Amino acid sequence: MSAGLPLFPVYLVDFVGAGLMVFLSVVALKEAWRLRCSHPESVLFSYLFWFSMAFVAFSVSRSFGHALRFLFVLLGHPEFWRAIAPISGGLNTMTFVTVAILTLYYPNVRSVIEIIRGEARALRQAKSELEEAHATLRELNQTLEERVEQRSRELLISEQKFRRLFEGSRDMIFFCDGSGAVSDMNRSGVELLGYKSLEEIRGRKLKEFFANREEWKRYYSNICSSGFIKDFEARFRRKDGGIIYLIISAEAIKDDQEKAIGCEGIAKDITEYKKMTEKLIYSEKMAAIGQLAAGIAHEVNTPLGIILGYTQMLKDDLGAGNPAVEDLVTIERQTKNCKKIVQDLLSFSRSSNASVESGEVSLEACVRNTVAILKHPLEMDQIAIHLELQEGLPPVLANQDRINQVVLNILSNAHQAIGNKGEIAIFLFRQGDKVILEIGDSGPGVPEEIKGRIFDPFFTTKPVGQGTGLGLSVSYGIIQEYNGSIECISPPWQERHRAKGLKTVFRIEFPVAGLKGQP
Amino acid sequence: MKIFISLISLLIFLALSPCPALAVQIHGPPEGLYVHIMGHLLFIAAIIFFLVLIWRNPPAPYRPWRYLKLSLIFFLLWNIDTLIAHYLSLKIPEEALHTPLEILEHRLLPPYTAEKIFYYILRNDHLLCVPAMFFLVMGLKAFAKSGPASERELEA
Repeated sequence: MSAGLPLFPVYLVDFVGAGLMVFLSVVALKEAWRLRCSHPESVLFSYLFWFSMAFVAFSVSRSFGHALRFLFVLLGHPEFWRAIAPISGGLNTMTFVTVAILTLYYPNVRSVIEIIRGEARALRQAKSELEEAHATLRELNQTLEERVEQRSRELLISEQKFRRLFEGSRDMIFFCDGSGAVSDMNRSGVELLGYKSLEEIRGRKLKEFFANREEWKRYYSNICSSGFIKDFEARFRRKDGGIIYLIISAEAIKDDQEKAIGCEGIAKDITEYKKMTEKLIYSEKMAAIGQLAAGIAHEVNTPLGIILGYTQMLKDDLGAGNPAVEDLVTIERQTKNCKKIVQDLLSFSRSSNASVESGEVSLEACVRNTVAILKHPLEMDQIAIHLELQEGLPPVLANQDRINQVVLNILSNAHQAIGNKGEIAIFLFRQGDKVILEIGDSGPGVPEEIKGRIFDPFFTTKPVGQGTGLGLSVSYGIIQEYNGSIECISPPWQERHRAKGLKTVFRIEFPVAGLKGQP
Repeated sequence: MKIFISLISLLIFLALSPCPALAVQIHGPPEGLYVHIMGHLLFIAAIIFFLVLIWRNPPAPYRPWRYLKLSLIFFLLWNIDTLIAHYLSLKIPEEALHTPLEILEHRLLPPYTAEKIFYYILRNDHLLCVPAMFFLVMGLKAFAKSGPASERELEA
């Protein structure tokens, strides 16, 4: 039978194709195996390996199936083939399903692997950062000790530098906390305020040291409004009650929120400068007043001399018994009083010293002589006199009578200031090239407002008719004449004065006689 | 917890309600063919899925991927070919195939219908699966040659 289409070409294609499939699938498997081995992390190559494996199974099973089919048909036992054919077909089906499942599952595996890789990358990154941090820490650890040592050294140097500045400064350096209490102060500051240790000051409010409340208010207001204060002049009260003049520059200490948490400042003691300035101004003023007084005294002195001369002549001419003589006596007395005042004015202005001789005078003798004169009236008024006179003091260059007058004036003033029952103390000692005479009384003291006028001529606190107000002026003039100085201290701050209950002390200084630069 | 109690209750109910056992399913002769055809269909679906994946997220346009795509396309065609061939084999009567012992005498007998002609042509499925396998081999070789670059795979 030759009709019909021959199936042999189909078988041939089938047979050859099956062989090629086996060959190609084995080659594919080998290539896929190589790829998988060289890139074990690749999901694609793993998939292709299993893909190839499935196709090897497919090709082999199919090819063997086809080969066996031809073999059994040629041998005349097609029933054997029919028995094996379902196994071959079943294997083929299994390979399709396997390949399909592999293909469908591949993207899922990939996404899972990608997630894992992402996490692995993050872990690697974290590990790398950790290693870097570890390396940095290790380096820091290795050099930490050295760095700490170096920083400590620098800090110590800096601390020492500022500590030296703080402790060594001759000016007061202070720190206050937010409540205005002193938290720290250098040694000079403590000593300046008359204290022995910082502990006595620490915790006390700064305003307690201000002698004048208005000055504290201005200081505080400036610090609060501007955050600083510069060259502010203020009076501070020492522990012993003495007043010192300070010039303060201070600044508020602020925190991160610009809130004031305290202040720090430097205060310079200008007490001496201030006193010198006041003395200078005062002596200038007294010199001007002296010139004026001298001019007037000279002009008045001559007519007074004429009046006194003519009065005495008239009195002699009229003789005793004449009723007009009594009037002339009154004129003579009053004229003499006027001449006394004029003489005092001339003494104050130092214009009458031409006729007065100077010499070496013992102040101790002057004091003792004057005290002897006044002892009785003082005792009558129950006023005790304490003398602390250093012996063997050098003399001063002056006129003894005039020095006696000075001591007498001051002691009289003290007597009048005390009234009844009190203490007068006189100290005489040497201090350097000067002899110091201090006369103090336990009277009411000199009010602050008149302290600057007590040496002015005709200034007096006594009722009219009880004093001319020339006593201290004359004393001032005499002391100045002998290159000395006089100062009124009220209230006194030195312990020796306070111990005796003195409220006012006149301190007189004379240069020791025989030194260079003396008249 | 509610589900667990419900399941237990159902099992107790079934245990107390006996009925004829139908546990062993019978697999008759057409099932093998159906499973085979379903296997082909699953394979087709997987290949289309893979091709869509490549089309949507194209990897670097270098040679290995080109070979792999060609391989998949030929496998797809081969699957379609065999699927139709299986279908046609059911349509052609057994008498249409003359298969004596002498293999050279095997014939597809007239009258020739379109189904018979298509069946005859589509029986040469190796003309599709061999090129598919060939391109797979080429693709693998190309992957091996491209080295580390081949690691760039499809974005999931």
